[in-house]
Amino acid sequence: MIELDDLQKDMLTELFNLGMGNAGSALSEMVSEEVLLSIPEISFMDKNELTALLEVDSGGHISGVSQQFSGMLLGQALLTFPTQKSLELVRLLLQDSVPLENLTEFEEEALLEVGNIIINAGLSSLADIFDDEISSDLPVFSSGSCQDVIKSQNKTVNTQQTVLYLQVNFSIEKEKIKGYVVYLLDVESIESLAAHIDNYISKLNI
Amino acid sequence: MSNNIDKLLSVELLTEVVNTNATGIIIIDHEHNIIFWNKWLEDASLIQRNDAINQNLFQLFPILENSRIHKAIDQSISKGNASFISYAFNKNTFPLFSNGNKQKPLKQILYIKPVLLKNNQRYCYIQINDATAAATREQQLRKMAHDAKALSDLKSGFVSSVSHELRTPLTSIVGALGLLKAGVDSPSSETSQQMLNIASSNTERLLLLINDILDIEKIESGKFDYHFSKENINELIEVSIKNNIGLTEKYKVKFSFVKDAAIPDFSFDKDRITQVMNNLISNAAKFEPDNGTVEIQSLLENNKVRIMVKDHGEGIPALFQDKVFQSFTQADVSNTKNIAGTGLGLAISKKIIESHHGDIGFDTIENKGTLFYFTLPLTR
Repeated sequence: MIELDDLQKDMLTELFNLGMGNAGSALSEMVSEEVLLSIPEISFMDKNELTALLEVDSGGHISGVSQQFSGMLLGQALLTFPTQKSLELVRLLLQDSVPLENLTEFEEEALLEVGNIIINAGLSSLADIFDDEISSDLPVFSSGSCQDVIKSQNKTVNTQQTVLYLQVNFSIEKEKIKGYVVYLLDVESIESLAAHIDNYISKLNI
Repeated sequence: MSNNIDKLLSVELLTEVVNTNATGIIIIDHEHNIIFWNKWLEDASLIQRNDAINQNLFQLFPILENSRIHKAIDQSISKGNASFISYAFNKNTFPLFSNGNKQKPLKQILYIKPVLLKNNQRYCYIQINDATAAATREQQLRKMAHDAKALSDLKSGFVSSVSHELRTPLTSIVGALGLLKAGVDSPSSETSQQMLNIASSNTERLLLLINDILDIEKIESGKFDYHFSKENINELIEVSIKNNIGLTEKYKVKFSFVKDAAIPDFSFDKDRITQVMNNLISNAAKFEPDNGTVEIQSLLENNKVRIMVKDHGEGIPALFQDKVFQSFTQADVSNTKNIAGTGLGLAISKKIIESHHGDIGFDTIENKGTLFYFTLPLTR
């Protein structure tokens, strides 16, 4: 199981925060309201541990957006929220007060776009580490129990038990909503990522 | 040989399929020049393929310069990222129309994808879906949800008010009867008589309240019956004043009636208009200062009749004026004479007058008084 040391964590956090800054600007422009994004936490995590963490935080039901990516890294990215929170987020962004229990088609598409912007920003940050391209596919909506959603991410890529996990904090109009970004990678990608992180750090130190 | 034919058929077939696809498809190169423009787009944009091919996308659509779409296209070409553009966040996309009708712009969702070929040539593929029907459905859904919530809120507010209004007289009744039952005094004493009076008048009040609530319920559910007949409104007003004569002693006021004899008999619901008159007269009596006169007047106007009831009390406070005809609101005026109305009278009166296609309203001046009026059309 790969662990990130403090230096690596700091560097990754900074890189992702830069990328998320851009995503935040894009979202702010879209909704004409200031949207601030920050990454307080990054680590490699075991998939089961992640599922358990999500279950505790969400009460069992999560909703989110996933995108396949390829290039220097191969895998699936997932941005997910406890379902209740995904509803809150979309309604905040759309300045919506419709009293419906589930996401409507409209709101689902809104979440897709938000997820797309966040995931692409994260992938750009990862691409910077490699100084090369990571290309992404179109976003797909998923919703269900934590187990089901995480499991369904394995469809085309044989991803490993270890995942790269980031917590993302959304801050809009004094409301704060916590989301989770997960990168599920195949085995070569994980090793490649770990190696490139060190490369990147040493390049910076020179 | 068959391989070549397969390839030829494939390319031709695929081109035809993409060209006649039920969504818009644009393919641009890395410099944003249009290299493919399908039939759906020709119809929706009113720009023919020959006028689109080889054009720079942003010269053809300057409105998209520096937009979210522009950024997404650049990201796809430079970074290989795919983007989804929802209608929820993007109301201004390509200028496209339904059936070429510029009055009917198309609401769109876009899929923007990078295409990287083996020779490292980069292209961007844009798919445009018509989201107009979905957007309309969504709007209807939202409206229904909003209306349902508003109705639910209104209902709980009403139930809350009704419960409170019912409880007040009941508490008095329970209290008075409780004392009587406890035999605190002899049954024929003055105190006992007082207790009986309290219980009795509050019982009447409860009955009035329940009748009014039932009326409001019937009105809301459309079951309030009207019986129209040709009647004389001046006579109705005179009868109404006579029936309310008890108020003159109770509130120490007088009534005056100036009638317009030119008003002909016309069609209205006698019982319901009587209900309205009783409501306005008793309200005015309550607010008229001691020894004052409530002025009632009928007037024939152009094709309608106007009835006015005027008091010389404190007037209706500004903050309260837009709530006058709502259920269960009574102005909190400190020197009014022990108001014992149901709070529903004006709400019911308004419904009755509206059902007659008339108007009801008031003019009020602070410390001078209030004039309530309603009009009824001569012909229905």
